[in-house]
Amino acid sequence: MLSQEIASRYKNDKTAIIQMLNAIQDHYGYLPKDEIISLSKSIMLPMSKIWGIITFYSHYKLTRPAKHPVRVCSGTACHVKNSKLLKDVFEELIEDLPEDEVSVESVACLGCCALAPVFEVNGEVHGGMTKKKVEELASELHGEEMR
Amino acid sequence: MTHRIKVCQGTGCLSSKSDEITDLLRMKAGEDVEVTITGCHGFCSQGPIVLVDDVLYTHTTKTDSKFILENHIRDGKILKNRLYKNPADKSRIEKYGDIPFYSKQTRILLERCGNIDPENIDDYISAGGYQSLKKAIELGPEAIIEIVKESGLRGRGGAGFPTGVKWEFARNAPGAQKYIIINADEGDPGAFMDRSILEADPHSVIEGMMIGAIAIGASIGYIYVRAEYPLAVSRFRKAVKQARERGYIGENILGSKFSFDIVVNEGAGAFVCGEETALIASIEGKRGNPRQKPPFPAISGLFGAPTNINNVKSFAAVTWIIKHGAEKFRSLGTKDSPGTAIFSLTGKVNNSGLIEVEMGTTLREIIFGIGGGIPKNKKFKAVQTGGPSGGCIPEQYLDTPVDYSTLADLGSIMGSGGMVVIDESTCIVEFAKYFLSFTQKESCGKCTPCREGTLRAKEILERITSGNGKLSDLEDLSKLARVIKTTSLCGLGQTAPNPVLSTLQYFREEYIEHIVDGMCRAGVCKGMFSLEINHDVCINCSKCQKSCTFDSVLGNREQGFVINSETCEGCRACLESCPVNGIEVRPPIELKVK
Repeated sequence: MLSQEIASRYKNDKTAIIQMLNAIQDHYGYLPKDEIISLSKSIMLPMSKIWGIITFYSHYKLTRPAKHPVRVCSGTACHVKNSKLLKDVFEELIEDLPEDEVSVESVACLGCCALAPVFEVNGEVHGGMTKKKVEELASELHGEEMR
Repeated sequence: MTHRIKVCQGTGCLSSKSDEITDLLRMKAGEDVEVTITGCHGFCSQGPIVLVDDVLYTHTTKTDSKFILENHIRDGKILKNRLYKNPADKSRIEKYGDIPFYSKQTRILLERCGNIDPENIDDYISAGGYQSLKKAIELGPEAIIEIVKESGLRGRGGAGFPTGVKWEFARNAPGAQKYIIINADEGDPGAFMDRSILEADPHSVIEGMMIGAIAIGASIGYIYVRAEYPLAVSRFRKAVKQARERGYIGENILGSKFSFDIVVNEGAGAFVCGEETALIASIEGKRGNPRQKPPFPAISGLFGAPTNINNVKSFAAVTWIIKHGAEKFRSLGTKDSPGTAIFSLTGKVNNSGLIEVEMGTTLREIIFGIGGGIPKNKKFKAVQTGGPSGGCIPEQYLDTPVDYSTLADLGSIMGSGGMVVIDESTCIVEFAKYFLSFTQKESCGKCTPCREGTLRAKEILERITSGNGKLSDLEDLSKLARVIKTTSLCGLGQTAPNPVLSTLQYFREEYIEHIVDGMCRAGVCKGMFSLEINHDVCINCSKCQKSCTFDSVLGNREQGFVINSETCEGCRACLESCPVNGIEVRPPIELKVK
């Protein structure tokens, strides 16, 4: 189990739980249930405590991320440049795609304020988004699914 | 003559592919050219930035790399179209130091940002790095604290508590094991000061922290940095590794009795962890809930031991103070708040970026002098300082010299250094709602005033911005805001109502307009305005049609244009693109019957 290896890297020290969870999530893209159960045993921290931590921090995800994660920046600069409206448009366009294919989420400032409004697709920054670019992106993702 | 090409690899420039430009330059450069990377220059809106000797190129592309090598380096011909264009008179400026954005600043802490390679400790050392540490070891704890007190440095995280006094508390607290922590949990949306420093000059922060460690008697230091800042984390880790290899971190540093080690701790996405007691809980592996103070962390902090926490900028300032002396620091800024302030200037300004000015510089100088004013001749409306914990300052106070107390008097705060400029096209009520929604979402839920109060206040603001407000809402809102402010447990709740209170104070008429007239004059709140082309000024340029996100501008260049109000979603792209300000915000077409 990966979690045992990570736990021993931190000498099974339960105060490093957040660093351990970060490492597990970095590996899988989310926190798989069996890894958390095994981590709980390794560092002798009850599942209830770990659950409390996971649900407190917004960084953690409990489900496998979609094949194409799309993150829409909602930082101040993108906000004033209509990122919310564009996100709504995009969500409507990809509604028919299965959930494990494309996911859309709003995220806090991505730090590329000069390129606002910003979409991050598969980890790549797309700046200066417009409705047209959003439509192109959606049809591109539809094409991917057909393949 | 050898040339030095420096390519910015801060987060902003990297996102527009400055790494590929670097690779191309490295691949094709001759032996007389040294290509290095740097951290953020602070001028992100102009990125990717490439510095060739002292000529600054903006908006560079991959193809430009060829021209830089062939035209500039080989033939000595400067690429005119990539030079910075002064928005004031459209002239092109060649030299770094001649650009008003830089020439009007006092860059002491940001001096090295953009000039040295953050991934190479030798660059830092040859720029005078680690001299302060050497000096501090010779000085000893008491003398260090005396100098920092003498300098008058106040905490740059926002609260402005005197750093020297804080260190003295921690030093005098009983306990064998003490900790020192760098707070790099920069969570304010639209603020990136700490990130830029960590990415561009990480060693200056490490050095400052170690000076603090000598002063309070700590042997272990932590940095708590947002997981959302992967580049800052990796640069800082690299810096720690290099400093350890050179003997600046470890046992018996520089032959002294002082031993020190640094642990890098990544956060997991919780704004409240910027609060010191919440931050400590998070490092201890708990939910990031703040707790009641006292006891202050200086007495009982991390794992119950005396702990000192300072912001990234405070530590960078300490490194400078030890090197240049307290007197020189005091000669900058105001009597109450000596030194410089670092702001991330964003929003509706021509030059957005990271700036450093002396304390006491007026807001007007910052926004119009350095920031170059508001784009497209729009009217300045307000400047928001301190992020979601700060307030909006209107035009009549633009000549206020900026420091901790003047901003507090205006109902805002200095905060960590976010500064967002808004113009007439931003709705003040919606803006207040934006910040309040942020704090509401980030409230940890431990204390009732913050958890319930911010939610109810947000509901009222949602009512007003959707056209369903009542006049009594305003009274309720300010009452609620005061309760949240005075009874919340930690700084998050105590400052969360500031955006609401300050806008209620300075822009009350806009709230009333929303409620009574059902009209949003900025053209932001959905269903509370319509857009119309003013045919007296329209020049039929078709820019509005091209920019429209929802294809709602009908017509052509011969016959003119109209906005189809039925399909218009109010995205305002036309307002932004119109070169003659020819699109007007009008009351909504279907007037609501009250």
